[in-house]
Order: sequence, then structure tokens, then C-alpha cells
Amino acid sequence: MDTAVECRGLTKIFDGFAAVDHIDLTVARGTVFGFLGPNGAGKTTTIRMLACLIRPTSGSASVWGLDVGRDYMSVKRIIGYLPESPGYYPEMTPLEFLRYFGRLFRVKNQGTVVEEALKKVGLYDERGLEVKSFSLGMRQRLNIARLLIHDPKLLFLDEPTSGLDPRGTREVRDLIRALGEGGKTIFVCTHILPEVEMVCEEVGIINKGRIAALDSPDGLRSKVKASNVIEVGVGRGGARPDDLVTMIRSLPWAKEVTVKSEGVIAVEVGTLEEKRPELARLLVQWGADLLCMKLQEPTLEDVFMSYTR
Amino acid sequence: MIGVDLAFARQRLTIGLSDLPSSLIVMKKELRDSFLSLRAYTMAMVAFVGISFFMWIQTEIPMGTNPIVEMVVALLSLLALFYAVVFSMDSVVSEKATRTLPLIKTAPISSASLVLGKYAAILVTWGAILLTSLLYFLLGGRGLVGEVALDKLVLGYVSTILLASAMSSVAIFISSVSSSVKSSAMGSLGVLFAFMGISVARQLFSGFESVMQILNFVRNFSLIRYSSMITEQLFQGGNGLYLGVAGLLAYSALFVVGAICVVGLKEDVA
Repeated sequence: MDTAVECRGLTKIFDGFAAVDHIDLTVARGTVFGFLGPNGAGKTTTIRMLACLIRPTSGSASVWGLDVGRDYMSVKRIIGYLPESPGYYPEMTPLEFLRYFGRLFRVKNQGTVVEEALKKVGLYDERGLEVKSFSLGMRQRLNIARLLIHDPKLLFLDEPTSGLDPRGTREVRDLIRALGEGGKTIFVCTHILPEVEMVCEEVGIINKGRIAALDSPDGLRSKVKASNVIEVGVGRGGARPDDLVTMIRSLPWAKEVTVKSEGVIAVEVGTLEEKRPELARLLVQWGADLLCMKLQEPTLEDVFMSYTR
Repeated sequence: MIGVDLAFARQRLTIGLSDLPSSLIVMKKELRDSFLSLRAYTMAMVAFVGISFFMWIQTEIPMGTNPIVEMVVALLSLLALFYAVVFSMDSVVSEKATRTLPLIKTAPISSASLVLGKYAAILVTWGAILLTSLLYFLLGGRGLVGEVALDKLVLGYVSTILLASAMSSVAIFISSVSSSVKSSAMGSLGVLFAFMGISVARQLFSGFESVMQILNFVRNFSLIRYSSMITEQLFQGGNGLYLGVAGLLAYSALFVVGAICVVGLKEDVA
């Protein structure tokens, strides 16, 4: 497997505190990798080490086969880094901003590249405005355009949708997905689970500086204990769902009963196997028009919670 | 472990000719910012108003050619100090304030390119102000300033460039270690006023031998002393020209290298 990122025993200690503690991690080229963890878990420290911004206390990290310590300049040429709160020069226009970074990266055919990047992030029409008048989402998109101008092989995105409104979040997610589909390797740090579900093929969970799990989203879900929540679908032809909820709540083994949507009742039970047949029998007995009954799938949130306790 | 750190430091601090294009890119960007802001124009206006005032005095009260040159050089030296502080105090720290430092640090440019580009832009702007003010003497003609000793004038101007360069390097260093523009401004102005305060204190306490001994010792660390050595030799026949030039160059080199080290090696955890 050609690796995009490889960490071996990577450690960063700040004032005696191990922010990242001997992590081993491999990310294949062409993957959209989600690096998931609660606040303070070590995500940003890891990404900053990989982006050559801070040096590891011990261990090694390589990007595209290049050591982030020894091949520092070469690594910077092939990566793009988007910090959590990306900066900007308020008095510059997007064109000037991108041209400046284009020159720093020695981008050839800069005029075309910059215009294409602006079109890709939807800021072409605003290219002549000063960046200080931009919304947070527009500034985030501008910084994504900055990542594109030198055509990096690997993108490090640290909380790319942090602080954005729903529209901005969707726009940035769509951009990430499009970049991933375009063949870029993307390393996304986030604690927003839907983001991972929507854009990532591989997921690493970091907790207290250590890697807690590493797999595909489906693989991680399969590792988590099956939930003990039974979802019951009832039709309109029988007893009313509200009445059924009241009756189910009277059962001593029904821990929590909620109406998830119209005609769908979620029942949390203590011991799953013994209660499903009994619940089905009782529902029929109470006159329910029973349409279906299934176990609730564990979500990525369940996975996250189980690994970050 | 030490070996690893030395290799790391060498990587981040080594500068070569290949860094020159990046320095020029940074310099051009800084020059653009300077000429879009009011600071350069304000500083140039103060210089021209001051020189014009001396020219006017010259026509009203003839003082000979050297006194006018000496006064202009003294004015420009004072302006150079303030100019250097005003232009340098936010040079590096503004990149932190706008959160653009991580963006630049992940671009393939060295910390030396960044610092030297900013430093060069400050000196080029000062050079442009000086060059324009030189036109007073070159185009003013004998009627305005009499027969000017051009050699003294040019050397006097060079001494202000050295002074601006030394003070800029101190302010850039302070800017690189500061966490906010405000703290950088206070630090740079504090150092400038400390340098000036030593000169003032020497006048005030000239009759107190023990105080003067301390002040004379402290004065060795003031870059104003080295600038005075140059102008004294030019206008009053002193002999400290070379020491003055060496002192200012040493100041410039020491603090610019210091700033490069801070930018290259300091880890901004935020």
C-alpha cells in the first residue's frame, strides 16, 4: 500500500503533559481520512506535527514517504494545511491573497490557476472585494482555494466547518467531498460526527493522546456492541401509537420508550433477546397494526462514545 | 536527542541564495502594505516639513553649509529611530494577529526569508524617503542651501540608514517574541525611550561622577551612541566612525538573527 501519512510512536509532550502519546497511524493515498476525537484529545497537535508546524518530542512521522523533520521543505511543497481558524489579510482581495501564496509556492501559470481555484470555491464574483468584508464561510472557502493553488497531494484540514452556519457547513463539506472524489488524500480533524459519516472512508479515533480505534465507519460500527433499542413500526389501522407508548411504558423491563417519528416507537430494553418475541406478542395483543420490528443500528455517535469514555 | 534538535534548528535557520526570491516576494507584499497605509506618507511628510523648516531658517539666518547638513542629519536620525519602531513593531506579530503565520510557515519559505523580506521592505521605504529628501539639496541650488558638502551629506544619510536598520532589527525581534501588536509596540517604544533616556540622563547628571560612570557604562549598549560616533566624526572631527558603523551593523545582525531564530524555532501552540 502506498502510504500518504505514516506515524510511528509519534509523541508530543507540552510541559510534562503528553498531548499526543505514542500514536501509530497509517493513511493510504487517495483516502479521505477522518481523525475523530473529543476536544483536547490531541487531534490538532497531531495535524500540526504532520504539517511541520511543531516538532515531535519523539517518534517519527512521514508524509508521502518524506520525513516531516528531515525533509521539511519538500513536505511543505506537497501538503496543504487549513487551520481551525484560518487567517487572512483583511486589506487584500481574494485575487491578491491567492496570488501572494501562489508566488510563495512558485506556482506556474498563476493567473489561470488562481481564477480556477476561485471558481471552484464559488468566490470568483467576489474576487475584487476586500477579504475583511467576507463572512466566516467565505473566508473558509478562500482558504480552501489557497490550498488548491499549488495542487497539493495531501490536505490537512483542522475542523474545517467549525463556526460555520448550516449553509456554510454544507458548502465546505461538498467541497471536501469533491476534492476527495477528485483523487486528493484528505486528512480531516473533527469532532463533528455527521461530517465523518458524510465524507470519510477511513476513521481514526483519538482519545487522551492515544489512538483508540482505526477502521472504516462501517467497520467501527460493527465493533460496537449491538444496541439494546428495538424500533417498532406500527400502521394506522390498529391501536394509536400514543396508547401503545403508554402501555409499553407500563412494562417493567422497558427502560425508555420514545416516539421517533410518526408510527415509529423506540423501546430500550434490558436484555434484548428475551424481550423481542414478548414485545411483538404484546403489541399484537394490544391491537397494534405491527408493520416491522428491528434492532436500532449503532451510530457513529455510539462508536465515538464507546471509544472516548 | 540533542543531535536531532540541532538538525531541526539547522533546517529551519539555514539561509541560502535560494531564499532570495521568497524574501523578495515578502518584501514586495510589505512594500505594497506600506504604501497603502498612511504611515509611510506621514513619516515622509514629517521629514519634509522638518527639512523645509531648516531650509527656511537657512535663508533667514545664514548658518553656513555644514550646520544645515548637520541639523538635517540630526533630524533624520531622530526620525529614523521612530520610523524604525513604527514600521517594525507589528512586522511579525501582525502575522500572528491575522493568524496568517501558520499559513506562511506551511508554505515552502524559510523563516529567514520571511524576516529578511520584512526587514528589507522597511529599509527600502526609509531609503525612498531619504532619496526624495535628498532632492532638496540637489535641486535646491546655492540660493537655498549654499555650497553643500555632498560627501558629509551622503555619509550622514547613510548613518541614518544604519540607525534605522539597527533600531528596526531590535523592533522586529521584539515583534517576533510578542504575542500581540500592543505588547510589541510597548516593548519597542520602551527600548527606544530607554536609549533616548540614557542621553537625556547624561545631560541631567553631568555633575555627578558616580552616576555618570553608571550611565557611561549603560551607554555602551545604546545604539544612539554608535550613531553619534559617526555623526561626531563627520561634523565635529571625532574618530569613532568605524566603531560606530561596526556597532550599528552588529546590532542589526544580532537582532535580525534573533528574530529569524524565534520565528523558525518558536512553536505557537495556539
